[in-house]
Amino acid sequence: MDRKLEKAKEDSSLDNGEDTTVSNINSKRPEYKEDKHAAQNPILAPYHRSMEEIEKMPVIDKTMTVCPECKLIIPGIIYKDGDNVMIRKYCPEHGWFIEKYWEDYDMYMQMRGYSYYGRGFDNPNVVSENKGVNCPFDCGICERHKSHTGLANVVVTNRCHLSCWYCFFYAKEGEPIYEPSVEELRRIFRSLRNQKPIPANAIQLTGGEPTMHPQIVEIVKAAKEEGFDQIQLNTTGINLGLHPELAVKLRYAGVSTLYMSFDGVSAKANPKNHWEVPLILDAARKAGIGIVLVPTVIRGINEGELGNMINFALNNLDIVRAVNFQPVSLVGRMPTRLREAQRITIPGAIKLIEEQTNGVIRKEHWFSVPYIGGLNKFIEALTGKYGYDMSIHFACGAGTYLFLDSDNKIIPITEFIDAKGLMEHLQNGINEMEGKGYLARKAIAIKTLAGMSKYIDKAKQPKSVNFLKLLGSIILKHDFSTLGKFHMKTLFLGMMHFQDEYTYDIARVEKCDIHYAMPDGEVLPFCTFNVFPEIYRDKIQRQYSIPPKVWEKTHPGWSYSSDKYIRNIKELTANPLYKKTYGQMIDYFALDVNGGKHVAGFFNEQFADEAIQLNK
Amino acid sequence: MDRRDIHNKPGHAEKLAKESSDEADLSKEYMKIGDALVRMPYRKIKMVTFTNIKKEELKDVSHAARLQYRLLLLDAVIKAWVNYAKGQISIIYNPVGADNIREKISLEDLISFLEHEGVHIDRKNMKERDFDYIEEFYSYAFNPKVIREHPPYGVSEEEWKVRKTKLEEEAKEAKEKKLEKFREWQKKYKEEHKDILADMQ
Repeated sequence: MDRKLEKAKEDSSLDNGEDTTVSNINSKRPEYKEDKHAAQNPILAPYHRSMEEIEKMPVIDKTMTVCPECKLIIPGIIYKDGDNVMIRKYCPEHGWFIEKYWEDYDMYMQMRGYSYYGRGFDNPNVVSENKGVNCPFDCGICERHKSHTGLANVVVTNRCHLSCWYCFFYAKEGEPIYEPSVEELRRIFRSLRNQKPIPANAIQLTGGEPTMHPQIVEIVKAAKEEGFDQIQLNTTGINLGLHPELAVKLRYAGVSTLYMSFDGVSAKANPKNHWEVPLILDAARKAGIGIVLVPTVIRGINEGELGNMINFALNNLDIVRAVNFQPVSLVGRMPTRLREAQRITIPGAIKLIEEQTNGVIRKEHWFSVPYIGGLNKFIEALTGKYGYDMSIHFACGAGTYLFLDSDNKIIPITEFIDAKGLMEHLQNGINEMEGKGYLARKAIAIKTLAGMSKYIDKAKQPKSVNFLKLLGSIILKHDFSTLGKFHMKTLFLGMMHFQDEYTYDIARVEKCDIHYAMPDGEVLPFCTFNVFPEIYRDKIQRQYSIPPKVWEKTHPGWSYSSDKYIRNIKELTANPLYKKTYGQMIDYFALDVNGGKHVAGFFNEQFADEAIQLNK
Repeated sequence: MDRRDIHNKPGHAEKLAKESSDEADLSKEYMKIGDALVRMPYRKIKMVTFTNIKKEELKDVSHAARLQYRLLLLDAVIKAWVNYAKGQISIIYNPVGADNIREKISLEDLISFLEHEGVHIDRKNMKERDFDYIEEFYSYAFNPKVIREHPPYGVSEEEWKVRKTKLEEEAKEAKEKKLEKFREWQKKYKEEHKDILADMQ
C-alpha cells in the first residue's frame, strides 16, 4: 500500500478501527443496467427506429460531421423525430449513426433565430490553403473561424489529485507530465492578448487540477499583468478548501472566479467534492472569490438533482454567481446503449429543471447565447469601440438570469423582459446606425433606448431593480458598475453542451468561442481540442511534456500516487461547516411566494449533535 | 505501413525508453527567447511536398481530409495538409537524425505510409527542404501577421481609418488605468489579509 494512504488510514481509524478514508476518488464508473424496454421508453425510442422510418422524418437542417469510427467527413442530416431533434449520418465504411442533437423541436426552431457570424481572427495563428474544406483537421486557428476567443482555456498542468473515471485530462501512471513554466505561460497569455480585432479578455486556468502547479499564484499574477480582466480557475476546489490561505493569495494575485466542479448536492451524485464543498465555500467567502458551480449532467447519474443544485446556489448567493450546467460530452469509446442512456442535451436538462422546480424556471425563460450578442453589438455600434461578440452556435449554449427579490421570490429575467421583441428592436437600431457618424449613431441609440420600455414589464420586474435605468446607464454612460451590483443579486444559469464524435457538427465548431491556447502557439476550439485529442490535445501536450522518469528525477519523492488526495470522510462530516451547509438549507421553491412546493429531492441532512445548534 | 507498424519497428521501444530515461539530453529541449527559458521540442526538421497526386487516389475532399487526419496520427508528423483540389500533400515532420529526443520518421517510411493509404508517390514530384520549426512555425503562431481588418460594428471603413490610432491609444491607456485600479484594490486587500499576504509582492 502507498505510504501516504497507509498513514492516512492509521490517522483516521481512531475510535473503533473503522476505515473512513477514500483514495483515487471518483475512479469507478457507475454500474449500468440495460433497459430491456428501451424501444418503449420515450427518451430512448428515437434510437430504436428503422432507417426506413427515420428517412421519412422531416429534415430541418443539413450540416457536415465526422464518422465517429474513422473520422471521414460526412454529411449530417438534422431531422425531427416527434419532439426530438436528431442527427443521422452515414459512413460508407461504418454505416449509420443516429444521435440526439436537441431534445425539443420548438426550442430548437426558436433559438435557431438568434444566429449570427462573428468576426473571427484578423491575425489567425495559422493560414490554411485548404480554405476550410478539411475542417476540423487543419485547425490552429485558421482565418475561416467565425468567432474570436471569448474564453481562453490554458492548461497549466496535467497532474490531478482525483482520478475521475470519465476524465482524459490528467496524467495516469507512466504518462508524461505537462506543466509549463510561468515564462512559457506568459508567452501564451501575451499571444492571446495580441489577438485581433478582439483580444481575449477572459481566461480560465485549467488542468489537471491547476492548483497543483507549485507556481499557480505567480501564473495568475502573470495573467493579470498581461491584461486579462477575468481570471477563472477551473478546479475541484479541494486544495482551496483545505488550504484557505491559498484562496486569499490567488484572489490577491487576480483570480476573480472559481469555476468549480459540482455534480450534485448529495454525496451520491457528487462523489468528487461533496464533503469538501462546505470548506471551499467558506474559503472563497473569506477570500472574496466568486464561484460558478459546474455540474456535468449525465442521465441516470445526477439528472435528478438539477433543481436542487439551483436551490443550493440560491442558499449561497453571497458567493455563488452562477450554475453552469454541462450536459455530458461522451467522448471516447463506450457501449452504444450506455451512450444513448446517458445522453442528455441542453433542452433535456432545461425540461428537467422545469419539472424539478415546479415550473418556477420554465423552458421559455431560457435564451440562446448569441441573443446576448445583440446587446453587445448595439453598444459597439454606438461607441465605435470593439466589444465582445457572442457569436457561438445557438445549439452550444443557453442561459437565463434568476433574480432573488427582497421577499425571496425567484424571478427569471425573461419573466419581465420580452427578450425576442427587445432583440429585434435593438437589431433595428444596429441596422439604422450602420455606417453613420458618431453623433448620428448616438441619436439613434437614444431613440432606440427610449423605445425599449415597452419590452419591459415594470409590474413584474424585481422590486429592487429598475431595469430600464440599468440598461440606460450601461448603453449611454457605459457604466458597468451598476451591472456588477445587479450580478450580485442574481444567479446566472448557464448551459454549455460540448460535442463528441456522435453529436459532432462542424457548423458548431467553426463558431466556437471557448478556445484552448497551446504551448506551440496555436489556438484550438474546445471541440477540436477535446474531441480529437489524438491529433491535438494529447499530441501537442506530449511534445511539450517532461518524460516521467525525468520528472521523477527532478522531483524527488514524487510519484503519481503521491499526487492523489486522500479523503477522510469522518473528519470532514464532523466539521460544523459541513453540518451548516447541508443541514440548514432553505428550500426557496417551497416558499409561498414561489408556489409552495418543494424542489425535487430537497433534503436537509439530519444531524443530532450540538454543532448545528452552535451555528443557529 | 500503418501507425502500428511504425510503433512496432525495431528500436522504437528502445527509443521511447531512452526518452523516458536519465540519458535523455533535456538541455536540447530548451531555448532562451528574450528573458524566458522555454521548452522547444524541435528545431531543424523537414518539410516535404508531394505534388501532381492523382485525384482518384485521393478519392474526394472528405477522403483527402481523412488522410490528413491519419498523417497527423503519426507522432513524428508535426503538421500535414492534404489538398484535394491541387493534388498536393505537404508534411512537416521530425526526420530520423534530427537533433532532438522526440519521435522520428524517415522519408521512406512516410512514403510507405502514403502507399499503404493508396497514394502513390512519384519522386519526380517531391520536394523536400529543411524546415526551421522555431522560425517558420512556432514564432509565427505566437506572433501571426494581420491579414485583414474588421472595423467595429456600425463604423464605416472611412471613419475607422481616422479613429483607429486614437482608439488604440485609448485602449492602451485604459489597460494601464485598469492595472492601476487593480493595484489600489490590492493594497486594500493586503491590509485586510496582512497575516497571509505579508510576504507577497
